[in-house]
Amino acid sequence: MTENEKLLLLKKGDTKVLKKLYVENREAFIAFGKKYMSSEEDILDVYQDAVIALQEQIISGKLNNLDCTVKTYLFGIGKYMLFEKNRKKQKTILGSYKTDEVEDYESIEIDYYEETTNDRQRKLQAVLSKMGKKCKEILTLFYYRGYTIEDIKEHLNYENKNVVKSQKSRCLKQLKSKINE
Amino acid sequence: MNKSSLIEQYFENNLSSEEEIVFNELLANDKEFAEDFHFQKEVKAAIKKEERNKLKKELQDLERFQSGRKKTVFSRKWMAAASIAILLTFLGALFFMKQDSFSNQELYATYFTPYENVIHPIVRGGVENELKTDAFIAYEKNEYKNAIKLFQKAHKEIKDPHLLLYQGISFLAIKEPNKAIKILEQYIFTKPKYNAQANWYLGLSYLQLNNAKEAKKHFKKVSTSSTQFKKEEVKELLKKLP
Repeated sequence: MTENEKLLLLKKGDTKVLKKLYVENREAFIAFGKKYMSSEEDILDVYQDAVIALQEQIISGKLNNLDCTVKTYLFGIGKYMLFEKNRKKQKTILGSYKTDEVEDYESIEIDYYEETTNDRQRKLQAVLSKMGKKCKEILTLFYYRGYTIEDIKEHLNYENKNVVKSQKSRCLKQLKSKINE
Repeated sequence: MNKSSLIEQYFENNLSSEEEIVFNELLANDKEFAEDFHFQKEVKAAIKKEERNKLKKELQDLERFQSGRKKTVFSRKWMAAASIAILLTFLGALFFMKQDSFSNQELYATYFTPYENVIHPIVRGGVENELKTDAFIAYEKNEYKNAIKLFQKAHKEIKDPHLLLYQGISFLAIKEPNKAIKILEQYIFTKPKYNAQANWYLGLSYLQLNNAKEAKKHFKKVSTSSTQFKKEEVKELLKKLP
């Protein structure tokens, strides 16, 4: 599989490919992480987050013209996540580790660990998890997987875009009325 | 323009620059529009959290499987490795009894270790030059390519000749002996404190280039220097070289 084919599958949300990538780079990441952190468990925890963040970056199309390998990019994100974990654990700021990297890994890390959980968010999540399969699927494809309405029409075999649109707005309305209950 | 399609296009990343202007105007002035948009943003955030949690669980499961499998594989691999190691030691002993010659590359590999950072203790937030600190951090983490860049920049800024020594060693560490030689010669030209060190690494650079004659010249300089630096090693090396 070439790097581009890999990216294409990852963009479609292929978890098999993602897991393969996880296994392939696992050992190397542990070795890399040991430079900053001693606990292997912590390193692996960060590694998982980095893999998920990588997947999100790919989905949002940020890796389309990447001039490094997927691995380099993954480790770049992971590095900043390791710093952040260290910072949280020791509760001191160890200063900036910025190097002259081309990619802005730090903002990916910040976005990933951003605390957004308030009561309303928790309620929203609870309601979402109880929603019907159809609604969940459409909303996830649109808001997380980066599908356009057109893509969803193709993917779920809807007759036309308007059906998708009205289905989606029905789901949103349903959500809204439930959290305002 | 349809308001709900504008929001849709926002999430699809499909707004043209004109549409973006309309979008921002509506967001500022149309309360219902703004509410609708913010609600969808919240939905997006909630779905993101949920999907992350799901994927995290899957990866954790994979990890449990992975580390469980590793352990059994490891013990079998280890046994194999151990028996090979014993065999190799035996063969190696036989080999060395017969002959005591090394290639220049082997000698290089045996003797090369990067010189420790003796000139710039790393203290974050100190008054010392930030670039220099970054350079030594990279050097100590064995990130030599990065270190070289930083040493170059720092040297341009503060002209501390010792930075050349470490830059040279970094070049040697990434197997660029020609560049290492150039920089180390430049360092020696400044009549530096660490002259013996520079000659030692110059010698190693020539070893890497398979030039034993030049290497010996520099090792001899180390052996006659007034410091104790690598005295023993140089003695050994001079014996082993043709």
